[in-house]
Amino acid sequence: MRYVAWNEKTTTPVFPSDEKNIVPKAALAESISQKVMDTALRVGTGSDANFAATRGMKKVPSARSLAEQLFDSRAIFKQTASPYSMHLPDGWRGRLFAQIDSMLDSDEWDADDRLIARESYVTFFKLITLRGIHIRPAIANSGTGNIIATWRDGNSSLVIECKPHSIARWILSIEGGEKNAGEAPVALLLDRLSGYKPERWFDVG
Amino acid sequence: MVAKSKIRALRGEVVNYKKPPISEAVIELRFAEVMPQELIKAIEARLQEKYPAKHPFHLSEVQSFRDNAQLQVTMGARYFSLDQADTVTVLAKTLTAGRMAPYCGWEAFFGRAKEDLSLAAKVGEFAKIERLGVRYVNRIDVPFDENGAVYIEKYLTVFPQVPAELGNIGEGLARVVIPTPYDKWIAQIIVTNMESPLVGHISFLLDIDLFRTESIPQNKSKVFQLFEQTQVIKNEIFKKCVTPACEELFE
Repeated sequence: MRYVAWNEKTTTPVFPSDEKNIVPKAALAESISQKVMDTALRVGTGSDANFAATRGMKKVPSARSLAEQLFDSRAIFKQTASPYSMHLPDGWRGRLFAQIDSMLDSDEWDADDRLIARESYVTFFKLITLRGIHIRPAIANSGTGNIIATWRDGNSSLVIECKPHSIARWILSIEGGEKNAGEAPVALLLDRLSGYKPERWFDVG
Repeated sequence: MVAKSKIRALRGEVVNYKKPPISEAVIELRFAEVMPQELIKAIEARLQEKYPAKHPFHLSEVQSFRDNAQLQVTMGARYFSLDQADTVTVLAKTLTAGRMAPYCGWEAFFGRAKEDLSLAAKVGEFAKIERLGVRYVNRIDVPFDENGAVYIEKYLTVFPQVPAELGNIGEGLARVVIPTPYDKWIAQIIVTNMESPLVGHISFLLDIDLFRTESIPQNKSKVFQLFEQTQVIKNEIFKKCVTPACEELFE
């Protein structure tokens, strides 16, 4: 009995025509900004203090305390991890949980940052369970409600902002000066990065 | 009853998969009467340390018969461990211990469930236990072939199907309820498909609900002895519902 994708999103790009809708690289590079990249590479230290403010974003007041909201956000991350957990390599789940506990600690958290959206966590787990990704990324907070995954190989780095709805926005920098930025559905990410030897970040040895 | 020798023999055959497909495992006690509020509060107080996150909820159910319709609302709460994987659900007439993925094996899960369900030890003093249930929801993630399709019979032996002339299936659901060869245990098996959390995959749910409503002892240790049997029964049902190609996906 032949089963096909019951939801088109499973196999086809989110954008009907991926190339047409892709954000121009120059604009994208600007929108991701060096600030986000710096933030991502400064893993474990939380996010840039004034990032939200520089983007003109306003925080939505909440009746819940910051500590309670961060507790919920940590819980959401851990709940989101569950359906992917059997596909994570040994030890990843525990280390990611330790990283998120540290990143979403109220002592570390910048009050101007937006809490990370559940949809961003979903994109993150879809990304790290892609076939061919064998190295665990470092994680950081974009300050704009998204989680960022970072891989480094010497002086080459790949920073991926996990946007809602399975969209990955990347900036990469190759030793020697080459840079690239782009945005694509997670399903197409490895294809888009194929010209940059992504195995340097994703593969062991 | 399942003979102890049979349990031992079958346990020897239990395969611990590297990537167990169990997305949720649940052990449930259901009582004949609503638990008194004081008892629920006492149970909740004992849960708080181990399960710091509480999610209250209510279940609404409309029961209608001819011109009569009744809305039943049941209040309850689900408690989560710090890593969100272990849960306890307290409803008016049920107490449930659950484990979300990653599943760490029967011994670990049942050991913890026994501890948590023992909170209901006093419950037996006020109301009869009327149902025992063990439910394993397995999610089997299968990669699409190059044509964006998957042939379900390659992986499962129980599945929804349509005549070939009707073509592909987008969504399917099959449900069977079978008396098992083991005493009073009954199994409900549901197979359906869903959008996979993984990129480029389809997921099939194989939901095995094993329960009994007859010959239920009202003694805690005997209840747990009965639950012990289910490890063998649900494993046997699972093995019969999947193919070797399916098992390869768990390695």
